[in-house]
Amino acid sequence: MQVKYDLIVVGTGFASTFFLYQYLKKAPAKAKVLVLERGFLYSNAERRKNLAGQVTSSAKLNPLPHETYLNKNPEKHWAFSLGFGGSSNCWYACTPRFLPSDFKMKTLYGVGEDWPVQYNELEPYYMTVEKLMDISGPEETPFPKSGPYPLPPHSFTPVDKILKKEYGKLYINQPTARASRAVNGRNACCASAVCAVCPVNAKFTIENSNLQVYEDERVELIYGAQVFSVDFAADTARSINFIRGEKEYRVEGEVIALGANAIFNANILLNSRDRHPLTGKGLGEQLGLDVIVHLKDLENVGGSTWVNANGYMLYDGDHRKDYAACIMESNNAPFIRLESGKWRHVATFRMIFEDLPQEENYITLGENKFKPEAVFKGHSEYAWKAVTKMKQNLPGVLSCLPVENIEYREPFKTEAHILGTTRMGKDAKTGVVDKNMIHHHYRNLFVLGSGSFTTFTPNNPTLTLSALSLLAADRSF
Amino acid sequence: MKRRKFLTIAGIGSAIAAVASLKFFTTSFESSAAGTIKAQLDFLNLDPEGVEKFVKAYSLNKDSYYKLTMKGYGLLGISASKSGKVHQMVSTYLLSTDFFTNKMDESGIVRFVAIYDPYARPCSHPFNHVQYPSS
Repeated sequence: MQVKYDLIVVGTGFASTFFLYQYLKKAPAKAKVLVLERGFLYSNAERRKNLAGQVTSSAKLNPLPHETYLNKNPEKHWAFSLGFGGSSNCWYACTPRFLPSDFKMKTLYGVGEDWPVQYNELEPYYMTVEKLMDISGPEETPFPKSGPYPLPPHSFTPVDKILKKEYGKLYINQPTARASRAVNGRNACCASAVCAVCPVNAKFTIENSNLQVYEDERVELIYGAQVFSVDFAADTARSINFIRGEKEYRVEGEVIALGANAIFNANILLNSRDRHPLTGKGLGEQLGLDVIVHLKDLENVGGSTWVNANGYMLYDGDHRKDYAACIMESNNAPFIRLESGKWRHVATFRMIFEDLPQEENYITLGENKFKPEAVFKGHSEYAWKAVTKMKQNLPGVLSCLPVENIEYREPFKTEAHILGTTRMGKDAKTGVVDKNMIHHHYRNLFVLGSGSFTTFTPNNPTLTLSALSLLAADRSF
Repeated sequence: MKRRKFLTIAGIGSAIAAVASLKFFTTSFESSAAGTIKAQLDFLNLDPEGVEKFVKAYSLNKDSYYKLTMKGYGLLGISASKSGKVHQMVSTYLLSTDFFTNKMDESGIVRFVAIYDPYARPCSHPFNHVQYPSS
């Protein structure tokens, strides 16, 4: 390890890796990059062994997520994974794009704030991420797209086909990093529906990405290094502090990029006495629940992945002035209806609702500087009202199906996303970072990842946060 | 209410509670779970030995709280339509049998094959496009 680097990156998840990927394309041959990863490599192969009941020494390499922070609300869960590759080791690989309207919530609907970056600026980076992840997706989408998806879409079920016929481009095969064909060292998805650790290594992870980021000679990767603060001098980040084993280290960087998740990026900034009033504030994510639809004489078989389709019928429109957008996921887990002759006369959908940042939800410092506290009082009325409206409107949406009855389950305790603690704004008054993910106060400090989200669209965040990392590195170097 | 009538009712109530408690504590999770599966699928011809093998395998990674809950559900006769846990267990049992490879033939004997586990047997989704390519 040297005393000073051109770039220091914290973490090896999506945000860090795509940022590094673009940086390395532009950086000089003699650039020196330090990557500090808190955990260790726990490979997909070893994870599968563990889940199949075999002993693996890798299983205890990384801390358990819930032990790393203090959750002040046990009714709310936050899901993530530690170790090399971050939450690519637990994501379910759903990769819908945001809609252009998602970036203009204030202008179009008078709620939240507009994002300082807009869809058309992000579009080329969406294309690149989709190519690098070998996304499977449809020809027709509700969002503008300048080229096709790299892989063909997954198969529809009979229920999906009926809904597609009824709603056209508002009902599409889900764009996903669960490969529909064997590609780039990955196998084809076969709908095992336990995607956190894919049994056939079909989903994209940082480990199987072949991006060659961590193999690059300019990059020095140190495992077991937990960053806890950044040193500032005036408007500049000077150095970074981390612990490895029992020893504390300080390393200087010309540029520093925080790519931990939205809990720990905020904790690092708060430990660093970042006085931006929005740092740590607005912790949130989407609200989701399952809907079980019993069907009369319709055998719902087929489909080739865990989530076959996305429905946008309850998503966009003027109702967003009043209540949240809802995206539908057509689930294809091996669920069964336990009735004679009706085993698969059933469909399940996950209904996912957007939300807006709430001041009463935040990350704050704990007694232990390594262990932040997550305070979450609840979702907004904007989101809850959308749940009520969905229950009123869904029977009409599904009227093209032979519906016997609809059951609504209780909301999940998490959608496994962590958003908003270092939100993006056009100026320091409305955001911690600017449109290039650079801290408004410290102009050589990038704060990457979904903490930057200005509002919380109903879509899965990974594709967008990865595209934002590419954009940030492309525009800044 | 006369004292004698009150004592009679209280005595009967206590006796019922005592019998229920005795049954709860003398019944194993395995026998309770097997009973629940057989009751929920009483219109199928289940191989009894296979049900026992399934329950034994299914109980391996279940904690005592789960087992106590399921014993309680079994005693109270709570059905799959009322409990996600019961639904999950009965569904997993069926996924662990040859029922779906036999295309849901309700007239044959349903035999346990192996516990449904995508890590032990990847790509065993019984309804996916490999099993139903034309749908």
